[in-house]
Amino acid sequence: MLHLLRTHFGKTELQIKDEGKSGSKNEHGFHNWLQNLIYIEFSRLNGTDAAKFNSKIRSLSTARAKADYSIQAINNTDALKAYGMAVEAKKLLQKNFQL
Amino acid sequence: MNSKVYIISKIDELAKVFPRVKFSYQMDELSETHFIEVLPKDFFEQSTDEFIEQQNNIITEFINKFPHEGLAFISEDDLFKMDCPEHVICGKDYQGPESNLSWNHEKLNELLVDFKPQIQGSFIVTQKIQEVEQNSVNCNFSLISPVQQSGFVELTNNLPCESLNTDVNIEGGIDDDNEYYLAA
Repeated sequence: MLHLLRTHFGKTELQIKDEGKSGSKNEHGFHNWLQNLIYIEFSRLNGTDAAKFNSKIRSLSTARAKADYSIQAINNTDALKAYGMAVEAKKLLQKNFQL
Repeated sequence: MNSKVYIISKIDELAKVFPRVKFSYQMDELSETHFIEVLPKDFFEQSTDEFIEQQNNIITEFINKFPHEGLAFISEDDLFKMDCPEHVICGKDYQGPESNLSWNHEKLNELLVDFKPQIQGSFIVTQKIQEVEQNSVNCNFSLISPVQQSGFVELTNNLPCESLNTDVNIEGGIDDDNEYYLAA
């Protein structure tokens, strides 16, 4: 996703740093800012895939927060499911952003 | 309008447009992400253009209104478990196992008001705790049926109660007989 900021959005490292910093403050962290930014552009390109991507990336992001900031365990089934979703999310990005 | 109110209003609109669908809403506080579960799964996976368009309009509007939070539509078997939905609404033609389930807090309140006499009737204490004697507390009370019939026993006890020593030696502070100084 960061790679897209450079290739598709044409942002420089300095822009990513500055916009990411203000986005982090206003949009509950860098990850949420990045997800919002990419989703809006994605939905302009392909609404169906954008909706699929949003569903996967938000679920993954929530699982990451659960794994890092709560005492709840991520079991083997969920870990495998998360891996599968991450692969699918990456494929959606590659397909629609010509990566 | 906060984000939850916004989402619930959108779900209710969606249930009218898509009568064969059940929508459940739950928020993950940790990631500040809102999830809308869509059932049946087949409908979600083979979404019509109309549903996709509605979904994307809601998400885009949500990002503009509440950029510090996240919103996603999911279905069953997702990584996020919809274990305690805050709002559930079924379209009028929904055929799933919980097709008669469509509730929210307002409806729950209505139910509680409608059945208030029955609920109260089941939990009336027939004899109030009236007397507090010097050395005992009278705890005679009983629960009326059907609670009694469901396994509760009548509670009738006179619990012993030690009298409290409230004497205070003003000149010496707390009475030495109680040995409070040991607490330090």
